[in-house]
Amino acid sequence: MSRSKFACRRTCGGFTSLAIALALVLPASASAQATGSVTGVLTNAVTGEVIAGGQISVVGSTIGTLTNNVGRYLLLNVPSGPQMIRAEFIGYGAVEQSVTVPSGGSVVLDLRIRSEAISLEGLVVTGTAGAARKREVGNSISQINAAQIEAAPIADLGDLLQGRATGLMVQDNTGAPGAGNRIRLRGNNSISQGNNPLVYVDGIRVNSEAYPNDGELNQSPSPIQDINPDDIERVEIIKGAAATTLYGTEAAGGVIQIFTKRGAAGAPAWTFNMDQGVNQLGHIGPDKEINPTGLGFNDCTDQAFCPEDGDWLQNGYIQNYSLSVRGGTETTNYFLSGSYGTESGAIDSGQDDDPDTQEAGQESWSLRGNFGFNPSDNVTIRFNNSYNHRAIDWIPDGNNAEGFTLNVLRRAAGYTDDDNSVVFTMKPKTLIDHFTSGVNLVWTQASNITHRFNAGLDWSQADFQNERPWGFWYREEGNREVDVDQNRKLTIDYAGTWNTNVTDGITSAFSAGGQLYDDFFNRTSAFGEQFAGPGDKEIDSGALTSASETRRSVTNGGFFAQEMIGFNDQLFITGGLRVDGHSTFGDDFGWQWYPKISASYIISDNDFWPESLGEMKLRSAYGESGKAPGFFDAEKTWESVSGDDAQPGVEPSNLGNPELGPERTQEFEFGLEGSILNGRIQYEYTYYKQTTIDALVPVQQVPSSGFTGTQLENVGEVQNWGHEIAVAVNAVRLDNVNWDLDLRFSTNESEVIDLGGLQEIGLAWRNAILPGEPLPVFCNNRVQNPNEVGAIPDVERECLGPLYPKYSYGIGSNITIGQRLTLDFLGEGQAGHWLSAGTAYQTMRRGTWPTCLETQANLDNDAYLAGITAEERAKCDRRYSSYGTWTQKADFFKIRSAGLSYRVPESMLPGNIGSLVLRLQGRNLWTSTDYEGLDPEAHEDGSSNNLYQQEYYQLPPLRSFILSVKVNF
Amino acid sequence: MTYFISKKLSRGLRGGVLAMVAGLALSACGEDFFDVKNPGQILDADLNSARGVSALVVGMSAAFSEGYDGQAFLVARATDEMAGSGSYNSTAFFRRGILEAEEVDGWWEDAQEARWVAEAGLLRMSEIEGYTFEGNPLTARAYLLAGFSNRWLGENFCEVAFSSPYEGDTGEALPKSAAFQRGLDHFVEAKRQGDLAGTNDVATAAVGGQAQMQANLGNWSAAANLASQVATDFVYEAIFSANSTSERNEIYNETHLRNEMSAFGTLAGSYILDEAVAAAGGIPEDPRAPFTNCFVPGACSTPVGADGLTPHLRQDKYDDRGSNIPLVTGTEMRIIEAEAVLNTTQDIPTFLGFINEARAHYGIDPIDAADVTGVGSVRDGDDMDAWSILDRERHLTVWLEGRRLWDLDRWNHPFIEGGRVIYEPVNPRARCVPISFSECQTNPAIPCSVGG
Repeated sequence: MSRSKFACRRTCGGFTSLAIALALVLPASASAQATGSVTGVLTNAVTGEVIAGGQISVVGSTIGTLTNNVGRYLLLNVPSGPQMIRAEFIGYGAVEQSVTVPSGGSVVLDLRIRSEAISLEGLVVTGTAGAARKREVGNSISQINAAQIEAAPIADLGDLLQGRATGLMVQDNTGAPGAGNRIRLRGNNSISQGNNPLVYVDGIRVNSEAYPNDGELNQSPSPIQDINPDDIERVEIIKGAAATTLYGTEAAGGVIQIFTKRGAAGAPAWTFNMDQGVNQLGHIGPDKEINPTGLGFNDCTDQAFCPEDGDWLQNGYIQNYSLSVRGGTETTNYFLSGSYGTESGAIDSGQDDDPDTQEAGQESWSLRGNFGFNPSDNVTIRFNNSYNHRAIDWIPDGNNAEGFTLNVLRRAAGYTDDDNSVVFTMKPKTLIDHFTSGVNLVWTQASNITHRFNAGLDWSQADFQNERPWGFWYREEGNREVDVDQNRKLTIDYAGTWNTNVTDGITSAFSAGGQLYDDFFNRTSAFGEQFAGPGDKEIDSGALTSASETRRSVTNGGFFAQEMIGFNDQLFITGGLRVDGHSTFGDDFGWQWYPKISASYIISDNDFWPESLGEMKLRSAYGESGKAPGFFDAEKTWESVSGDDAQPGVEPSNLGNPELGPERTQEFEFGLEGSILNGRIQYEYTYYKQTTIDALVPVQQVPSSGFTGTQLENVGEVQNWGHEIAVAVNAVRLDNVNWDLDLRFSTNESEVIDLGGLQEIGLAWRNAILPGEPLPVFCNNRVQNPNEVGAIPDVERECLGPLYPKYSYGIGSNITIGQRLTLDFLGEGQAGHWLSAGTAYQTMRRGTWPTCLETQANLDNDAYLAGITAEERAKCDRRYSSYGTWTQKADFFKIRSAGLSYRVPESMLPGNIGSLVLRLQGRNLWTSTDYEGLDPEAHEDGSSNNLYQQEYYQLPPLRSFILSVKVNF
Repeated sequence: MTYFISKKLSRGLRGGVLAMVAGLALSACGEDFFDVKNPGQILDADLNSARGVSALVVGMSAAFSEGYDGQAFLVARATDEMAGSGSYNSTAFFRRGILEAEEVDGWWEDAQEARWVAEAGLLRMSEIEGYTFEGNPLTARAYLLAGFSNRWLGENFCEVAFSSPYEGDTGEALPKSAAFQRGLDHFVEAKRQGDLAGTNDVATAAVGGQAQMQANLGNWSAAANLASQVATDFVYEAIFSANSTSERNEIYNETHLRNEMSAFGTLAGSYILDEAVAAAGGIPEDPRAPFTNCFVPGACSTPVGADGLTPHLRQDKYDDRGSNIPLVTGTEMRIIEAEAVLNTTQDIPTFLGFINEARAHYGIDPIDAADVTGVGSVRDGDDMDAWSILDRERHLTVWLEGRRLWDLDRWNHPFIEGGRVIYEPVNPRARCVPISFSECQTNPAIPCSVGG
């Protein structure tokens, strides 16, 4: 048994965990005995980089401090003699090292810690009432530390999350810069209320619903991509109701909490980062042998208009610059940052030659100011503020007659008469402003009583504008649209924790608190058309104008209480209850109760446990969470309409259901986590099963009764379940070489148990929800005799599923040589799901899909038809083809990223430069798939919070190469 | 100093936190705390006001127009009126003559909503305090719209069903005639109320509506008598407008802004299937079925349909997004009178008189009686027998008005037996729209085998 484990048993009582975390900031009190001091530097054991904000303490005492902004620490008044010094930092494994402190003197002790994705001793705060050690937590929780993946190319939060945690799916959707990802935690458990996780930044709930989509783009930017990735210190992810109970109604889709960087004591420490790179698209569509022109993208010389270089593709320029500084004193600290960047898409619109056209691209900048104050010994206050701005220029795409991809692929059968450059004169753009400000206050009333208070505001605005100029090819008189969406979220959150020693060896941590979330949404839309002449326009430049407005406001509030009992710092049992009210509950429904219970047991702390098996924790959790219905779903309402040429009228809107309540997701999970070989191999396993009862089903009302729409009713049931396995292997640990391997494998299956008697609910794009099937499935005509040679295809409607990956796996590798040269690699695969290759189907119908040209030329050739299978014929013969015949397995493996970084020897740097790191990085480098469409991740409206999945004339995700320089000074 | 700040702050914080928690608890218990704020909606009870009746009736008209253009678009693709040359999934089915319950939810629901809004609205109007129901122009128009929505249901759907708003609306599947009779009753009342209110256009349209219903019920003498009361130049239309998206005519949108259907290969396009002829612009036009031949180079932005194949002969009957769709026309009344003749006396000169009166209205040369080869039949005639003439004349007179499917059905038209415009059809083609899946899935009185 390791020494550190004994040390922890003596010192890490459950009730002291919070106190330790907070007391670490406090200077040691004066001591009557002889004392000395300990000083040193805390560094990353693999890369050699300093760690700011690390916690350094003297084991068995309350003496502690934080490392400053260059990783240095100083412990004063340490009792002389042998002492054990402990270093820890969230996301890293703790180390303890002995030192002899000279009386009246000082000793130097440099400490090195290693990042550990799976650790029993790290602190977490998400899903718990306050900060908790992972050993105390009965549910799985994933942590991603930005510092761990510094060598990887991270352009936004999606890149940071993708492939780096089990149970987490992050899909790219398109090659349009600025478009958002689709994020799911443990799949879909809601039929009607969306499945996006909640997102918090520094304790403040932020807007995580995609900014509004527009039919010209069929993609949306996502608010969570506004945040500057260089500001992120770490991310905590809890994936299901077993862990999210304390977040109440709305949290059934999981919670992602982002923690931004903080200040640290010391002189200002600056970091400058510069990226220069390119976005690219490679060969597009089927293999070159059968598709030499890349569907007309890679070679457009036979089109009516083609850029001078003979293709539609370009190297889209990427540039990013960020500058940050952190510093402060023992009582005040700060972290300030700013960034600026631009990136261009990979389609050559000819903008350089023709200013009347628009190129896809994004410009962004951000500012952040995080400030910490310790106004007294027992109070810590942090103000976290950020402002982010993005300006996104789009090219029209997707399911759009004026879209670029659609018209290039359909060739002469498109809408542009084969001059596809005309689409670039449409100018859709989105201007995003996003402001988040919050205050976190921690008051340690007594050594065992702590209060935490968060309050903050998240405000975001998306200003979508689109203009078809006067003389536009598809609307000759032109038009202009403006949609301004404002979203305001107010968070007020209080939690108090009281730790007690019940008896010797039994501890109690009682927590209680409440949250209030107030959401306000406002959309103002205006449309003007029929311009009198050329030039830049405003809405009222049009002869005909219209406007609309939407304002919605709802409030969600609740209270919780939680008790955690610890036994000998080995067994922890937690029970909790949350009570919620919500604006959208029906009048007859009232408050909702969500219970939770969990247990954590450190089995390896038993004497019988062989030391060779290292550490292991067994855990199990049950919890409930919910999803609230939508606005006004509980009320019978009518909507205002315009009829009889602009006269006011009313039509039925909503039948109303006064008994409407939230759907309730119950989740049970159990698992284990631990490490062997002295931490060289860490592992984690979780099995979970979620059951969503009272699922909100949009029940079709009997049309012949008049209200023809759907009414939400709590009548459904959905189950999903899966396994999550993660293994982190420190394969090589030599003085000059370190190799870490991360392997992740997750499954997620779902089944719709009940739709309240409905046989089927249709979604868009032939996606559907059926009892007994995964959520959702695809239903359309399929060939019943696929392998029969020479046969007429026999097509019948059939449902295929799932449409979301059943399996996902990730492989991460990080090799560091000499603490300077690092090679980082991340691969991810998704499998077991289907996708309709709508692009191929509709292009085939126009006779321009390469793999069908031969068959289509021989449809009157009986001898040829006698030699192909019914499936081959059904794909290419319009009489039998459908979206269903083009629906295929969408399994893929992608190299998500690869990065090579080199830390220049300090001896080669000027004196005022602390470190210089050069990096060459690539994103989305290679795809392996048998899927025959454009890309297995190219999804129509992919970033919107909807269930359906469909590929339809979206550009494949971009490939990027980036060269970057990072300087600390 | 630190101690002082700490003590003071601690007291303040303790009070602040307690106040916050207490405030949260108290405010959360307040009655209005969790109210939803969404100002765009109107609560049901708020409509029971005399001042709101106008909005109710405008809503009836809006509900009708919002759905009826879509119905006419469906009918055009599913019959020989237009070639479905677009890329919609539904088009792929409809143009081959396939109409299945799973594909027609929207059309059934639109028709039912239009019917229910009018019928339930009339019941509400009759009970609103301060509203003079009898002889009110709004009452007359509401009855008229109730009649047209029942015509819409009966003429297009294989069976009909009514679950509300009247007692006796059991939701069972009923024959088309139930809708025709219900519509007839509404038209009769619309005529009475229109006369009382002095709204002649409504009263006349109600007479035309009665003629249509009597014809649909096979009461040809009554139909002819009613039709004769409507002047040839009379037109009553469903209202569309460029004012807002929902008020716009979908057929215009799908054929002018998009290329979703074409007159190529249809009667309106004179059955020309030769692309060379189309490219040369050599297709004759009929003023009742006007179109632009986009296949002539340079005539339009794109020469072919959204399927990339079919020459685009763009209909121009609805050449603006605010183009109204006729519901009752005097020319259709003449055609009804002509059909009544064939169903009763079979007097060819009388028949031709009505036909030629309608043709004259459009400036088309009369058909010479000497050219008529006899009464014939729609099923077994030649080009110039009376029934074939009637078929063509009615086809072109009510072109794109959502009427053709019913004509094919009631005439047992040979086109149903595998007739094609361009795309390979099924045989037999659908002769009516089934009750939707959304109805049979939710209405216990209608198993999903019915209509499916």
